[in-house]
Amino acid sequence: MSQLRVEHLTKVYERGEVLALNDVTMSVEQGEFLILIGLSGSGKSTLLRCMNRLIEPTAGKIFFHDTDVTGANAAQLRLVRRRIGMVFQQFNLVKRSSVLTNVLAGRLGYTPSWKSILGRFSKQDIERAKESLERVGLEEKMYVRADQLSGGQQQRVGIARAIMQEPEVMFADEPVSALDPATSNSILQYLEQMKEEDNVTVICALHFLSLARRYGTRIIALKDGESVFEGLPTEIDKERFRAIYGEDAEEVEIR
Amino acid sequence: MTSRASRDTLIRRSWYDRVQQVFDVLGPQVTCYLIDFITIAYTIVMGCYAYGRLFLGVESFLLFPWWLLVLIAAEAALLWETFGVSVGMQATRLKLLSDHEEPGVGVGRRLLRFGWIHATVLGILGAPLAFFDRQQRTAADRLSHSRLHRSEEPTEARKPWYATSAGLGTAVLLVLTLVTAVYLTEFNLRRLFTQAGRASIILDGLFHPDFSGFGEDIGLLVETIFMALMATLFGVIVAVPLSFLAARNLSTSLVGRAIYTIVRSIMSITRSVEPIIWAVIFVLWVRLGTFPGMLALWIHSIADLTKLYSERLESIDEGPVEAIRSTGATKLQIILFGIIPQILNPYLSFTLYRWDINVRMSVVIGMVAGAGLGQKLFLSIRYWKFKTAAPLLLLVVVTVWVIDYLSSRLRTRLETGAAGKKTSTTES
Amino acid sequence: MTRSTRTQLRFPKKRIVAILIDWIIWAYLSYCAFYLIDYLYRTFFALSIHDKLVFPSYGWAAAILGSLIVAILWENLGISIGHKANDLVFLDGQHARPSTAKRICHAFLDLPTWGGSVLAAALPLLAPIGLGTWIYNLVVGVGVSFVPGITLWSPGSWGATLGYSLLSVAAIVAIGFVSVFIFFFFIRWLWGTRTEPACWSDRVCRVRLLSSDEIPGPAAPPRRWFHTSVGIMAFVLVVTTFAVGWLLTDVDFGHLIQRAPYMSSMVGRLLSPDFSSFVKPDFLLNDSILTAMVETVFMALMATLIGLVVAFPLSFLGARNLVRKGPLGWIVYTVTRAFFNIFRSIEVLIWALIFAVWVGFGPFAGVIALAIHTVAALGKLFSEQVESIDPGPVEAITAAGGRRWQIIAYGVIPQVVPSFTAFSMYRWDINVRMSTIVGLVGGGGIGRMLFHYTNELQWERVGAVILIIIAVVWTMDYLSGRIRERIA
Repeated sequence: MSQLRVEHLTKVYERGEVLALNDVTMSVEQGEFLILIGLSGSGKSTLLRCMNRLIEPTAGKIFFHDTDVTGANAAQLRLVRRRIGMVFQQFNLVKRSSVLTNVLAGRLGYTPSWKSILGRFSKQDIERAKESLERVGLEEKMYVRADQLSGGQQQRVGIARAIMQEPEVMFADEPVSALDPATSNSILQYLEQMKEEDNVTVICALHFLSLARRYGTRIIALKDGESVFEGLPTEIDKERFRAIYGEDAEEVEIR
Repeated sequence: MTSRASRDTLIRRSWYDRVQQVFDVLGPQVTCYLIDFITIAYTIVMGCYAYGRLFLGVESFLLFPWWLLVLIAAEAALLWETFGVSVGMQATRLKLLSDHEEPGVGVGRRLLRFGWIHATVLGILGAPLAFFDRQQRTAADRLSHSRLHRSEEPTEARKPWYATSAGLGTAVLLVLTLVTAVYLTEFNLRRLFTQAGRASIILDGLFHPDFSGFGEDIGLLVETIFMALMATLFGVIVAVPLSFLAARNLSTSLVGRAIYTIVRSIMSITRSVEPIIWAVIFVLWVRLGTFPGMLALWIHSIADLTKLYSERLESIDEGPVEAIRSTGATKLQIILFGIIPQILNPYLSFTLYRWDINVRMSVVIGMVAGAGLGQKLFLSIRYWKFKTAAPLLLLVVVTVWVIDYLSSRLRTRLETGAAGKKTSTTES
Repeated sequence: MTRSTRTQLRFPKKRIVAILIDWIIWAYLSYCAFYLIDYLYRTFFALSIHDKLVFPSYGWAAAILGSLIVAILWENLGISIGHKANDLVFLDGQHARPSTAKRICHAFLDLPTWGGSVLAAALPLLAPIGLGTWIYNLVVGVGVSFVPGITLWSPGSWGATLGYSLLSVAAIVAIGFVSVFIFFFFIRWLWGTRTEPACWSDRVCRVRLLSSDEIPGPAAPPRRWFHTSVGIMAFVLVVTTFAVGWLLTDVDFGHLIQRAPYMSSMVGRLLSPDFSSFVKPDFLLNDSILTAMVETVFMALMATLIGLVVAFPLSFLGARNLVRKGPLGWIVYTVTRAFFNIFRSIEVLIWALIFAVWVGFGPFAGVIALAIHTVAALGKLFSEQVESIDPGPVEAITAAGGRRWQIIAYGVIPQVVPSFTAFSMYRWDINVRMSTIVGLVGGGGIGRMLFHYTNELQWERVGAVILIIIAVVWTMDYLSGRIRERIA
């Protein structure tokens, strides 16, 4: 039984001018490290965001276990979303808040609304937050303002926030595009660690094929909103590479 | 590569989209014509007034019947649009394009267009054709093989203003406006000097201030400042929740949109009425004193603060909001954790700005409400007691200056934050 | 100035600002306390309206001094708002919070430190005061003296006056030198060492005042607001201000609601507007709404144009990066900026009042009033804009050998034209609103009609006028917003 299933997903923008996703069908099994690759604008981010309905799909269905995500009402959607953690390209931390507050925000899906008004989280939540931060190695930065950290540190805070949700699936929307190569590797290692230790399924949109080969168990390639390749990282040879990235593309090794 | 057929079925253009497209194209054309019509009519009226005042010694805006004006303006606007580049076309970035591949539109075709537009009564009769046309051309367009559409990036150099008819037209308009304005406002700098006798009385009084009532003046100043303060505080209490209703990015449902439009309109209207007019109304409502002044400032502050707050709300960084949405938070939690930390400092900054303005206004409102410095100032100047007015003016200047300085310092501090990095900008 | 005096003046600026903030907070609270006590007495204990609580005449001085003392105590015993705002923290030699004993000791020593500093700072003023007194006494003709209040030598013959004047000047100079010397010595002793800036009380108690990013180690967890003195103080300030404000401004919503029925008829009349004077001139006022509105808009137009034309060159004089370096430039800059500030602080309506008296009632007074305020406001906005331009193009043109006016014309002006236009449109907006009301004080325009009808209680016509005002102002707002969008 696949964990996440996407059927004939289509997304159209601007009254029909822009076709972001065109009839995409795929499924994801538990424990996979699925990597989405493709050029900018090929639909990777749109696909991820449609899957937890941050963007509303125009047509198609999405199933999380047995729940129909596309037809879910607000309450059901929240239940689905809190089981899916997400890290973003621009880290998306609340800049003025402290690291601790940002990480605690990951627990909001499990906290009733009225408790949040006072801004208080339970002692367990705070303990959990401390543990998450220890896992990403940032426990001394707990009370520091989020915008005073470096890019890599901010992304680690983002990961800690996602860990707080105790998710089954992790979405990563180009998590390392704004970082240098060394930091990129360490961030993806955290995601791999989550897969190994907590059996979390990871769906990651990436730019660089080398990183995809290194970390991915399966690769789906998108071009112009359509899925053009689905298979193991080793199966991408020069032919397939040209098909995905275009006629003039050449692979560059990033170490 | 998707086949064209399947792409089209996906893109299924609903008639709603069609209507939108027609408005997108015809809208600017209508606006363009209106701009030209109004510009020409206005210039003619200004010309009449100037001519009347200068040469006929009569004060009149129209030297001929109004229907003649409408006719002339309508025809002239059409002529200008068809045979040149009018002000309206410059403003709406429209250009006369030909249906065929040639770069420009010849005189013959222009005459044809001129004729057909008249035939279809200003193009109105042929307009519905635009619904069915791929490029939204009207009947007049089709028949003359030309259309007035948004042009792409300019390929030729922009001509200086005096070389274009639009530029010259605007210049003539400005000159005539200036002449009319001078006459209409009885502008006559010589009056400043012929009334020199009065000037010397005024200046003499102002430079020999009478500080005998200074204690009372300070008390009035405190009253004035508190009036502004309370109006700002009460204003913030109402404006903050109202701003969430008036922000476009937070009102996505149909009900939300309706509320947004209503709130925005009411605030706009309230802002158009100066607080002093509100003060007059409130003085009649409750007795004279600081209360009506405070109420007047309160109403205006709500309107202004709501506008400032909601505009800031519309320009927040959506990233963190998206992130918190993805964790499964409720709408309230998203606002508390994603939006409020971002807007706290800007809101404070706007509040300080508004307090600054309110203090200035409360001095003036005191005139009408009978409280604070304004009252005494008004009476002393009106009755030529400039000696008494002088210390009041001094107090006003010093207070407003100090508050202005403090508020701008505090606002810079708020914007740069503890980290010393600029995070947002505010109007000064 | 030796190097030690330079290094020691780094810190006191922040500490002076901090103590001033705390002092003002406590002085304000004491004023509020006075007011509240007075109010309570008048409401509950007074026997008649004229029975007032009489505070002793030394009350104000005592309150001011008392607040200073309390402020110093606050700074030492907790973290005060002044310290928090300036990012200062008291630490002892081991970078920990000093013990209570140390802090009390420091508080006691702080008093003479600050008192001594204020006295020492007052010393250099002795000479100018003496000089001023001598000049004043001479001009007024009271005699020759350098001590204010006492006439040392009565006016006599020329020679005697000259001789006594020379004596006075010599005395003033001597006092000047001595006081400045004592000032420097004292301040140096109180406020500095050669190695580290610290005041006398700091040195004796062995504490230091550091800014929070100089503290090593991890950041401490923030405490809940009601545990910190800053939080409690802020809360107290807000509550007190609210209370005093409520009482001072006579807030009485009950009265508002009570009088609502009386207002409903007026509101009803307001909402059924009477447009009879729209085109046809009103008999008494000799003006129709239409012409008055046109006059109003043109008033705003003239004022904005004049303001723009005058403020444009003036703004370059008020920009620090454009005026010549040196004392002359500084004077020009300060005078221009002061002019802008002063003329901006007086509201348009007050200017209109004055000018209505000067040149007589009518739109001209309104135009002048609006224009003056516009010049000042636009001048300030423009000069701030000029100060924040990109220095790059200016550098480039200077390097290419451009003269001053060329630098301005080709380097500065192209950069500032868009924002100048935006500011002018913004100001035009404001001027239209203002011109609708200058009629109240004789400035002409539609305000005259509006307030006339208000005085005559002809609410239907008032409603008509207000509607027209709303329509025009709103349209101008919309148009200027669209134009600003297009320019940006």
